Amino acid sequence: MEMINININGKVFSVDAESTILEAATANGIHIPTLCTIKGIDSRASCRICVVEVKGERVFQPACATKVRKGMEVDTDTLAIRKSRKTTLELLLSRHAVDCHHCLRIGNSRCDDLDPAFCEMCFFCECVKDGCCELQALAREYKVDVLPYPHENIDQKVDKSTGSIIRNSNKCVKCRRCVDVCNDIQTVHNLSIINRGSNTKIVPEMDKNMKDSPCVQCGRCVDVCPTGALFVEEHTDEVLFYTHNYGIETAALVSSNTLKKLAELFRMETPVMEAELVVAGLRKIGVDYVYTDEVVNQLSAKDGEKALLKALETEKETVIITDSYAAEKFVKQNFAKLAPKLVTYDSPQRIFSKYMKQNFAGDQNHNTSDFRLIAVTEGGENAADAYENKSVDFVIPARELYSIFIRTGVNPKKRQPLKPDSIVVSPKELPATVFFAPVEWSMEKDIKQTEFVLSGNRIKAAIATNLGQVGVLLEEVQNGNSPYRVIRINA
Amino acid sequence: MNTEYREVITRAMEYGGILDAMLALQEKDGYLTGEAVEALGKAFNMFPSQVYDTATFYSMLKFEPQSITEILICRGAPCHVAGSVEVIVAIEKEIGIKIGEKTEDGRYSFDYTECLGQCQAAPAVLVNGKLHTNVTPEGITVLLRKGGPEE
Ligand code: SF4
Ligand code: SF4
Ligand code: FES
Ligand code: FES
Repeated sequence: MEMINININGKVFSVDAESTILEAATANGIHIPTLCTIKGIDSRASCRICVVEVKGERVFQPACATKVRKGMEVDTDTLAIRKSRKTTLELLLSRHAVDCHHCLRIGNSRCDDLDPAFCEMCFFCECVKDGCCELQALAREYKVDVLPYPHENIDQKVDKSTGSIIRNSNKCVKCRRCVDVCNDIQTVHNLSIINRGSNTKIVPEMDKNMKDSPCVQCGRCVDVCPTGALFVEEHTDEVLFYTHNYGIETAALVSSNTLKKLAELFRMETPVMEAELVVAGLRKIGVDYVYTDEVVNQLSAKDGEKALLKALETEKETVIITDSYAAEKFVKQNFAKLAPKLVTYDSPQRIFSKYMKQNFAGDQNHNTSDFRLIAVTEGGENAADAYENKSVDFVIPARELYSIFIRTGVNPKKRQPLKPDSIVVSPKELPATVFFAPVEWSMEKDIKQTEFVLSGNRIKAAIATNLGQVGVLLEEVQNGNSPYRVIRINA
Repeated sequence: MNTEYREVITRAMEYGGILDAMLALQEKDGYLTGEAVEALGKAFNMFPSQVYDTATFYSMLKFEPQSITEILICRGAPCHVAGSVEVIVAIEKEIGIKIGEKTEDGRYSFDYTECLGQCQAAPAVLVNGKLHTNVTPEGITVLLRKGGPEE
């Protein structure tokens, strides 16, 4: 790595010659605010929040998209820059429905009695202070406390057609993150930008609604959206209704994929929140049975292993296997010829659902119809599976759980950790091969190759961690030159 | 249907690129239909979302059936300086809608277009594709009263 010297805010730093001003500054502990750029995708520099002064340049430069040069002199925090960033924010907010206290990005909604007209821009008020909205955080950082420009274009219809991935265009700041993830990483090519200038809009393919679009409900656009424009359908009211209802029993599965986000939201020192604290919080709001996901993950892996063993007997070519709702949809849509070959097994969420509906209800003489199942998990595809296939009644992502806790005044951090309920399985069922252990979605282009042994055979396999990789791998299968015996896909 | 689209596209591809093909398809149906966008995607090896994204950049391309009389006024700076604002006001008054709108009976639509390359004779207006230059508020009112497309 070649290093060069540049000057940031009057100090000389040795930085990677290939980096952008933003990367160089961040690496040296200098904060530059951003809104549109995300790690892993080349910046489109569409928001202009990250502008900095570069000596010799006529106008401010976007730090996220400007490469460093030898001897460059950069100022990241002058009055002129702060003013420019503030104006940008004011302009963005003039096309943004600023009803923060009703937004899902805000934890605290104990403000039903607030007057929205009065509380237009209350960024300094207690009631919205604990949100997780990047736009609001910037507005606070730059002290945007009045809206100087008239509000425009904030009466577009919210698209709830999928029942899981919801788009509220009124909150979109056109940062493009979702478009890039949907096109470049997931290669679904659904979201795109249409029109131009102030009429620019993000829309599903050909301005269809989400249900009729090629969207596979992977939910990855939701994960990157900095505002409340894309989100997983909320179920706060239903969940609280049923947990507070004596005639109905509720059971929740806490997936470990939410623990990191929860720690972040609750501003904890630890990288993840202890599952026992989440269990305690859920019990406090009235959930009757709370489970963590170790056993269901194992059972899901076992289910995968069984399905794979069976498939290996009959399938002479590459076996494609998945437990993902979105991956299944993606394969059907883009590789119709391979779709009949696709082997599916139960995801942890489905395992949980089956376990609760069969064993649990039978064992303890419960009536399943008086049961409500809640999955606390990230990932839009789980929400889509719940909506389409009724695997569970409600999917609650970390962000929504956070807001439920805040709304009900339950602080899991302050609770006594509680042991989860246990799912009883015969030891015969376990353990399963590590090949089916949970994997995280990634933006990587490089595909993870692996080898494992199954009933005495060495198997060469690939694990796809995003749909773009699935595209590449299945293209090979279709052309008959896949080097793998097994492809496991994760969306 | 699809073969028809393919033929139109193939012909357009002999002399031009995707924009020419879009215009040719629009000529055929009066606007770009969803199937036309899909056919373009296949022919140019693009995703429908990308074709649509590209097409919406141009205000001369339409995505729904058009009104009987379509009035487009140039939004370029030279036209602006030459008084296009007064012309806009006159048109709005005459047909009773604001720019960017369509009359309820579907008789008129009124919108901006990009520079028409007639800056030397600004302001420029297109009425159903027919170019009018050096337009004045009085002139356009008379023209519209005389009645529509054939003019
Ligand atoms: S859920 Fe996935 S496929 Fe659907 S729009 Fe978002 S990123 Fe694209
Ligand atoms: S929907 Fe969200 S991620 Fe997509 S452009 Fe708008 S603000 Fe950005
Ligand atoms: S973060 Fe650099 S322009 Fe948006
Ligand atoms: S600016 Fe109107 S024709 Fe060029």
